[in-house]
Amino acid sequence: MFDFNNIYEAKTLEDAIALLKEHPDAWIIAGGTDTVIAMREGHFAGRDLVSINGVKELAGISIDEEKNIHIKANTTFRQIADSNIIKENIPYFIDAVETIGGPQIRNAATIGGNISNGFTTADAPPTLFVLDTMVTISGPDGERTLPIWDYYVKSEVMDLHMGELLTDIIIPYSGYNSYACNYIKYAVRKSLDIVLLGCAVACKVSEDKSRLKEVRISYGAAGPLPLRARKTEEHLKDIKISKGIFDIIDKYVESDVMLRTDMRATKEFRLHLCKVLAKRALKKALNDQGVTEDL
Amino acid sequence: MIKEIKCKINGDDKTIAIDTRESLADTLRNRLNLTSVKKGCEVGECGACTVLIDGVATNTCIYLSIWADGKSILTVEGLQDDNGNLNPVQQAFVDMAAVQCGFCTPGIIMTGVEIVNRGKKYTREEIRKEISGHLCRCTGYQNIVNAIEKAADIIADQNK
Repeated sequence: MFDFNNIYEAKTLEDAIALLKEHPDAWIIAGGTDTVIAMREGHFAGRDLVSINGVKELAGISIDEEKNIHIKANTTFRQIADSNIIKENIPYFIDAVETIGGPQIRNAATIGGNISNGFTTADAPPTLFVLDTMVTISGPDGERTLPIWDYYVKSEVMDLHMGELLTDIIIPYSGYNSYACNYIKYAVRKSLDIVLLGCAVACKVSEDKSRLKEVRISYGAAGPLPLRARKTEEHLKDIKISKGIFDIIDKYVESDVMLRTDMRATKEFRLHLCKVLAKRALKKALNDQGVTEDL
Repeated sequence: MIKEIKCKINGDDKTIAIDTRESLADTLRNRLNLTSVKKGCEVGECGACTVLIDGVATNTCIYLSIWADGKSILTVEGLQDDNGNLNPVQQAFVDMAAVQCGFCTPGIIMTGVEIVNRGKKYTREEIRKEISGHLCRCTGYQNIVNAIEKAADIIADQNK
């Protein structure tokens, strides 16, 4: 038996908001694959929970007229991997989410939880960061939409006011159209392991495949929160594709990240990974874009 | 808090009184005596507690029982047919000697049933990925992969 005070089950979004307002200190539980483990360790002793596990209107994937992809917060990674919308438009996102946990974890874990935990080690956020994802928060005063990086306040703290919860993850057409993207998870085991470092790279090239138009780089576990390597990206804008682009990554990446040593890896090893994984992911993404030049 | 949930367990409709704070693994083991559901790591890593909830393999140790309301649950106890014959996946585990100590076996069999029931053939690499949510410390996985490969081939050929 787990140690918590009470659990309130929401059946609709309206329900969930009302329950969260009524119990301001309650923690939101969706798939439970992180929360139940924390509960077992006693972290929720005396606390209330609001379960949104059964809220059907919060699950599903759709695409609107402007070709923006909407993933509802309660959508499981299994549903994402099985979705034709995702397969057709952003297949690389499936490769990224299939690195999460194991099959049974992906059957239960939700994308909203993966983000709203506020863990820097989560596997979905780096790819979402490079696709310029927006998130919609619903609450008693209606909806607000903000870029995913603004949703993170600090480690394990999200920009949520009383009664609010994450409801929609929007991957804009401008964020993914004509980009190739690649996520590399560096961990000790292939499955059921947490990243030492995760790196997602998206890139766009000119029509004749000779110039790099834009590169976006994002890391997990390279700072207290998932982050974008904006300074490095700035130096990779509109340049000729050559071996030299990799030297730019080597040179500037350190200024973008805030590394630390913990039980999984040292600071020095993580910096090495930041450089190597970004280069490897960029190379693969360029390959996917049809760049044949030997890099 | 005690709550009543209604669900279908191994084909039978059941109404169970549960504590809202318990995991489905505890409910199945302690209230229904379905002890094929093993508690190993209790943090969703070893897969020993896997059952099918509405046909989907789920770790019951990190699944709250209140969520099972209205769902259909299948454990190893419900796999045999009316005459007591083993499910093809179970039979393949016997034939290929895929069981040693047996603790991980019920969980892997449930995942095996889910993937075999899709009715397609798998490469060995695909099977490894599909069972990557299970830990087995005895067999070295070789015979488990052999067994699931065999069962998947049999079912896929039947469906042709």
